[in-house]
Amino acid sequence: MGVRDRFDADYNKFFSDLTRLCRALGAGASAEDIAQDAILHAREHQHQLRDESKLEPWLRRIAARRTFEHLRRQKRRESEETVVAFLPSDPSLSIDVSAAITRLPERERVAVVLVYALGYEQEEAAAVMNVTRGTVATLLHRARRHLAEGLVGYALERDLP
Amino acid sequence: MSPMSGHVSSDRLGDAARHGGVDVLREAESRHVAGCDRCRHLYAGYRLTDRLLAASWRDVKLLPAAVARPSRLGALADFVRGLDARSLAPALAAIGIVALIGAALAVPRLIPVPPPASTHSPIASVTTSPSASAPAVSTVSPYGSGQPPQSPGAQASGPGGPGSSSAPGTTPAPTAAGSPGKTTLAVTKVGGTPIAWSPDGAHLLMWGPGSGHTLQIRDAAGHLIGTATADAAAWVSSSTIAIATHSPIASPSASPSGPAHHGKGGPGPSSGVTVGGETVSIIGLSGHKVATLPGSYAFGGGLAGGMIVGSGTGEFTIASQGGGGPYGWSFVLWNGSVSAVQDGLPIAFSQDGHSLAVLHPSSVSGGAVTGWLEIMAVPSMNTVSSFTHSILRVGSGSLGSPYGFDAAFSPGGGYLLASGTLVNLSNGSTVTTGKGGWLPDGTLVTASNAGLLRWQGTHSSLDSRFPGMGTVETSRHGELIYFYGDSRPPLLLDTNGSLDALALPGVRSIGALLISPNGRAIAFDGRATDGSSITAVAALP
Repeated sequence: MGVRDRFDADYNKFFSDLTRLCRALGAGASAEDIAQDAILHAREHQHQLRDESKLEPWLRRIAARRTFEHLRRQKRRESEETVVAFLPSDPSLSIDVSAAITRLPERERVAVVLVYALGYEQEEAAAVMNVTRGTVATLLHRARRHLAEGLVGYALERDLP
Repeated sequence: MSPMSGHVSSDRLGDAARHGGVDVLREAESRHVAGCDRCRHLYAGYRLTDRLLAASWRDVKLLPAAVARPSRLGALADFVRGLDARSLAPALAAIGIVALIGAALAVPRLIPVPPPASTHSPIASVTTSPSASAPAVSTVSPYGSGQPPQSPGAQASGPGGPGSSSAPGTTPAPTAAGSPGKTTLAVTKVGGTPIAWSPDGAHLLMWGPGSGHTLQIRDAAGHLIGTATADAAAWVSSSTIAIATHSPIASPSASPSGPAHHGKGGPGPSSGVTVGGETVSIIGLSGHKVATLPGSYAFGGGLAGGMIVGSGTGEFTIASQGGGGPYGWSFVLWNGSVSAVQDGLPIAFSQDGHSLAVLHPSSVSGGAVTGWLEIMAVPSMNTVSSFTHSILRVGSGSLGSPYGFDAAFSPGGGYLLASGTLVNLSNGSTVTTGKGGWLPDGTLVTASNAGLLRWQGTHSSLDSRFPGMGTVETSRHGELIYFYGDSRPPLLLDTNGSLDALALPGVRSIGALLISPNGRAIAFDGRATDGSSITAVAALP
């Protein structure tokens, strides 16, 4: 099956996967549009894909890049409207705790979202971020430490064990 | 310990939090942590972080102010982190103090406070007639019917097991017209965190406030009727609960005889070393011990709450982390006696207790497990099907997190919904559906950004009576509750199809909610109107 056939046969799967990725990266309601654009762009530029077995990682990279561009544009037009963030939601914890994710440095946050929210393996996350697996591991390690340090106050307040 | 600071290093505390507790620290480190606020709190921060990362993820609306921007102080801190920390220790300390003061002054409060319920009533905009505007709902469920709606209090008893789910079912037919009615519920505050309703819906299991090791058993009205100390718990039947309690020192000579289960390659009774572990007992509703199982069990991987999985029909499994690598999990089944040790990590029983979903983990992060799925018959423990090609990620349960796994069989047993992924157990194919629950006729309902979705095969239709992003919970009896994270009242659809907006006096918003299997009560937590945390139960109309 050629790449073009795969686009058509697996469109639903690609779209679902990319929408989830874009939403997790913070695209909110624009996730579906970005995912759709990414697939169309990839379909038009399929000749740029050298290794057909890497179609999915390639698609994810395109979608991730477009999401980051979208977020940069959105940041320039910051308003007082609510923003949508993709966060862990533990009912027994305050939203303050969940929002700690948003305070992580960008790359750490992206690594955390890809691995913990989407369940990507570190290699897959590395492919999306265009870094090595070791870098992802380091980012995750740092993110966990930053979160732990940032949540000390909450743990103290609640007297968590 | 760090020779520079005299404290236990952050990495060591992080390892301890991830791998089962301060017991894994060296003796001197443990002693230090016990007496050092800084290390104890950082350890707690790591525990909280792992709990957070293992939770379900979803879109959350925040005010822009809630999303902190990288500050110049933060950038400076990042820069300094890259330098030689030892030579810069005094400067780091000074910068840290300045940064903390700055952060305290500059970082805005994160919680987007919703307006009071009295000034915001978005539910009033739900004026469509269910019969007129709801999308056409097929009366045939592709997921199969387990049983017709039961009388309250009845146990699930429909046909179960993959492959037996072909009987068509009917969705509860909505009959009410116009806007939802409004019903005010009597709210009874209770302290702690709800874990699960008993299978008959008559009792509620909760963790008590504070350390989280006190188990409370309450009746449906919220009255406390029993307590126990436990690290994990699950309903075995409507009147019995399996609990695990930590045995700090379980020397081989003191270990009970019998089929002790330490996991693959773990320190067994003949290993000649002193080991710690969990003892598993069965207790009654008042908290009194009914039986203690032989052996001890090694909990770990941040999965303490998921180590016991109960069927509600008289069986439960106990998982144990063994020595065969970080993901070497095994388990035993109890159904009056303890089975032989099996590989894998159980995540859910089917509603009739005849099937068991087991993950074979390839990775474990906090309370979430990723691995391939196997379905086993109970009690024979024979493999019914296995899907080694399909990798599933299952997070912790929706309430009482991180206790239990977010996985549920369809009533007929032919499908499994696991953390928003629907698995067809006849062929292993998966569909991303989002989180939700099953109705007794086998209809799957899930929440989405747009509202409630009803699933037919791989296609979903939006039920316009439940607009906007919310969370859906279903009872085995057939009730459906859709609730929001803000001041909008939860919506109850009963088995007759009538829709009610539930007014909860004194409650500003709901964080999470559990509906009892018989559809007669809810337990929830959230924010009170004064902004404080609240946990409560309320009887449904």
